[in-house]
Amino acid sequence: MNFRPVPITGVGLVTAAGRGVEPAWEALRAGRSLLAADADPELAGFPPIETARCARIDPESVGADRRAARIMGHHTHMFLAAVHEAMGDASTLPEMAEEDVAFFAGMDSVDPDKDDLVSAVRESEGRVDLGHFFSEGMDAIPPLWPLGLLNAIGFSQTAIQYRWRGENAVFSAGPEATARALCEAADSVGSGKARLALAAGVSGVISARMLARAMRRGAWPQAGGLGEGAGVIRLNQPEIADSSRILGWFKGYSSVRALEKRGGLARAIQESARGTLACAGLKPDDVNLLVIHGEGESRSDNAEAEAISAVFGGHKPWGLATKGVFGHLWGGSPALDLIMAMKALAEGASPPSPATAGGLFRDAAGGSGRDELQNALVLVQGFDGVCAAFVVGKHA
Amino acid sequence: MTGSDRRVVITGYGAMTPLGGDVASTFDAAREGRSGIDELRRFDPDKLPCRIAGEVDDAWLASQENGAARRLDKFSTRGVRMMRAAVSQAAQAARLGEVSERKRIGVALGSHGDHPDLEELLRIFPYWKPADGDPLQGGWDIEGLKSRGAYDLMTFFRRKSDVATSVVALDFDCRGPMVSICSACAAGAQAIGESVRLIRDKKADVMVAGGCEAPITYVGFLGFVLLTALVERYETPQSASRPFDRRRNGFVMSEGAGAMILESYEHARARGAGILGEVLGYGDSSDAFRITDMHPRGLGAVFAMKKAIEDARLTPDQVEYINAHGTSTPKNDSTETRAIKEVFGAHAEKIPVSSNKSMIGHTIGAAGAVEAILAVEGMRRSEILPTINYQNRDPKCDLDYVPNETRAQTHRVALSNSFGFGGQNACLCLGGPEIA
Repeated sequence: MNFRPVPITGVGLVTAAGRGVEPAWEALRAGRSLLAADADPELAGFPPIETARCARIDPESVGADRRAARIMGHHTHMFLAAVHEAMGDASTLPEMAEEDVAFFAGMDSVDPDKDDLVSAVRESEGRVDLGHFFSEGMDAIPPLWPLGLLNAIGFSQTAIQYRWRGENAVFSAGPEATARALCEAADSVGSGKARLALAAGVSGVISARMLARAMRRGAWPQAGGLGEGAGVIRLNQPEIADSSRILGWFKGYSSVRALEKRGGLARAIQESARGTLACAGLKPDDVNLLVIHGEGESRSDNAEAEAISAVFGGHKPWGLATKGVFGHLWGGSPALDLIMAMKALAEGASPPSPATAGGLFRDAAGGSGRDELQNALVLVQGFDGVCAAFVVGKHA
Repeated sequence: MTGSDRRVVITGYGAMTPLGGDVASTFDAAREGRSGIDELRRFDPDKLPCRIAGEVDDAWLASQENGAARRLDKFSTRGVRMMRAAVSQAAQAARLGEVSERKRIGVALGSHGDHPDLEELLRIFPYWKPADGDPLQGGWDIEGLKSRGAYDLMTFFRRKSDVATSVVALDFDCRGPMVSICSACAAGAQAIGESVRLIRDKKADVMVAGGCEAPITYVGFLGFVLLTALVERYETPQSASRPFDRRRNGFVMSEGAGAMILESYEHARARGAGILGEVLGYGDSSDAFRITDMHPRGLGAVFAMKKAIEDARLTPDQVEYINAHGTSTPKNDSTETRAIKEVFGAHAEKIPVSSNKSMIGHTIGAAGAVEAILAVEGMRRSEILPTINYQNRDPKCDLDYVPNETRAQTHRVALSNSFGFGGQNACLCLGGPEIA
């Protein structure tokens, strides 16, 4: 089944490089890693870690009113900043009803603010006396504290700010959640249920709890550093997209889940890549740029290399990997990778390909390669064996 | 046939609620107008303004847990345990094990992970080492946590919103798409709606869909106390949840799980699966108003209901029953009533509208799934479940709420509403077995 391509008319990005696509692209093109040893005393008990954190964002700078901002955290601020950029100059958008805007997001877990709980427990003097806790400790918890337990709240706050009332869903957690959000947004616009759709991916905020989760997932410290960030892709119905504002085309997607321990991951990556190419009506040779998942963990990387070799055979696309520069953004990663792929297509230039054993990519020795970049395949590995892939194409 | 023309039928369902350990016993209790709400037993609620909840009987849960997948038990929080039991019932009814192409079976669940309880927090708290006397600055004593066995708690009391989906996929060997949805009270219904989309788009032939929630921990309960969302004035636990009644003053927190096996009509027919009902349409929307309040005109609710009816290719006058979100909070019930009138016009007066939450309480992420299941079961039995505790007419709530007694009535098309905290709304348009 061929997928009807959907135009991408806006993108927004927040990473450790700053707000916007350009600073991220510059860092990536220069191969300048934003990862650094994290000196946060809260993380002192963990093994040393490199992180690429996002600078704090003033919520008022992204249009949040003061009242709403009081119950927003860094997670939501990153989200809002990326949406703010993706929406750009709203006056350029075609007029449409609020219910014609669909909104999907993959959100990493949001932790209730540690400080709130520590204060409350301290007030109750560490006793498991619920009555005492209620009468003494609870006063230390802000009334809207439960909002911190729901990772849909940042999503709802963004919908409120922009008055989006169409189809929506919050998926959680990890890269596969954002992959699902991208698929849903593309389908929503492609099927005509929405005229405009936003797909977002937001990382968690680096904290002791996030590291604890990462350790349990085996995603760290075996793999590379962790990053913070958010990416948003705006899709339009083709009929209402202003051609001069089209940044690229979302051409197809697929996702597959691996359950077999032995060889299952490599097979799932292959199947998701092949399924995506079939969905887009492309052959492996049509792919000029391959954005790898490349998280730095040996099992994952080996499986990915095996799958790439099997899918592409002798064809060598340019290769692109983002995690060495930005860290692993978990829920934010698929959106970041897709946006960087689009930027590479638009620039007609890929940053240096990752060096891999077996030379999977063109010009692995380094250097930007000018080429006729038309189609980029983005590979995603989620938690629990979920693998997804997307194809984005250059706008002619 | 295009993907969007694919019909999605229900071939099995299961549930675990404060009223019963499965769908039949839950429905039987509900049709008698029994309440599953009682004094809170899970923890001592002394001094809390709300001391009641809808708790699932531990014995029901234990009796349905088999030893076949013990390896998954360590990942299974209370919510996930209930989810596994509900899916097990649904899978058995649908003969899910007979489906050979496991890659075509997906899982979509609404869940938020379990809340930490206060004891866990207190066990971990001593390992927080303040820096320079400031309790809000410092670090975790990881070695201490590890050596005292508290480290696992530290890692695991975190909310793992996709744990239910992962465990169910493993437990029931579902190798297709996996979707975990976190949209508060709309999550269970959204999971069913997303499953319908996946089947229509031919990304899956079969989906395990539903939701679960086990929020009755001190910390989880406290959160809603702080929001003043829970009922605080009631004569008895059983009469506390009173949707659409003038004296309603908050919802009753409950726990539970609901699961449906959804599949394409062709797939179900080809394997000879029994068809219990059909998901005719799905609509979702956002209020985009306030985090803590519904849109005063119920704009998002209106959009969701209209979309679901349109998606089902029906007209409002073909809807014969509405399973309301009906939380028993003052604003929700009057706003939902207003939204129903907006969608159905004069026909609104003729449609029975009832709230299962009057008997079950609010099961948050499970509610949409549990209530959709009861709506379909009602169509199968030609009975409409009542809204119990309806005694005092509210001028702002002036529809037919099926007060206090089950109504015998053949009906073939029903809506099931779910409106999430934060403003996400989902509406399912459901058909009975005759339509399928």
